Amino acid sequence: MAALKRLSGKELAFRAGEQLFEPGAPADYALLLTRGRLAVKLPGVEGIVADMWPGEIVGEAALVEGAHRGDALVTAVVDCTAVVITAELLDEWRADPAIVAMQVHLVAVLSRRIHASNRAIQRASQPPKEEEPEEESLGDRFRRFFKEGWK
Amino acid sequence: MTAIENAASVLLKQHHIELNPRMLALALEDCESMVLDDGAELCNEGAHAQEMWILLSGLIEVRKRGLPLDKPLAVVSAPALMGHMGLVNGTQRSASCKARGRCDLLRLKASAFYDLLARQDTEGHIFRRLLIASMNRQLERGNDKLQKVSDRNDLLHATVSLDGWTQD
Repeated sequence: MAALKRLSGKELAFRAGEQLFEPGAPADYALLLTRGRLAVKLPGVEGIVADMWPGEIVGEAALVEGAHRGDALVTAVVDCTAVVITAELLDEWRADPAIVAMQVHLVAVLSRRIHASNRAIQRASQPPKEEEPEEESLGDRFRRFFKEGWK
Repeated sequence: MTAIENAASVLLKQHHIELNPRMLALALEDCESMVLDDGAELCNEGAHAQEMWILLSGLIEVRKRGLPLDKPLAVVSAPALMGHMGLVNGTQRSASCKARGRCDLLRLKASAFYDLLARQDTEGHIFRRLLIASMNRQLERGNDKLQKVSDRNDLLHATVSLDGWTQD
């Protein structure tokens, strides 16, 4: 991370509760979290969909599409710092081992997120299971026997 | 222009990558060409992933166990990267694929894939950017689908969490 910080030369600080990106805003950089913790929420999906710790990359779509921020809400849970990563930085320092390592890391991160997303889709697509009555333990059956007789 | 250069050019344009397609074609130069006839299998769900492919022409049907047989999960059209997730994760194939009509592909074996992924030159860089762009698009489509499914099931599933997002 130190090498990337040196190549980038730009680190941003966020206060706890601050949102890192404005949904729909132009996206021209990703952030590599160097300190703190982030929470990610998706509109329409209840609860936090991801916790992010130092080493995680957020806003990576900016590195590939150069378009606009998506709907995800990324919020600093505590005070955070993050290194700014741009597509130009990746192109300029393409042969630098730190950039190569970051790209490989990003491939792994995306893979994990795709799997998590697929699992969540599968879970959300399944009809809800009917609550099964809890199985009575042997102890409970003995207690019931002495109260009610064996059934 | 060769079929590989043509596919490289379209793939980079599709993903808004403004780098020289010739460099991507060079990176893929050592891949093995293969042809699948209509109905031929490319991979089977559950098999160990040992290669990925670049679909140069044709259509590939993706099917998954437990889903209706008459309806594929997806139909992938050329040019496209296929089967890379299994190599990234070192896992089993999550779906089965077969050709719909004749298909031309390039086969990138696991060892060549890992070599290319780690290369500290322009060819390695352009391949990584393409892979990241392709996976990013896949994730966006997945998240869109998740939102739609969640909206539909809102009352049934009060909480849908992506536990394991960071722990996997």
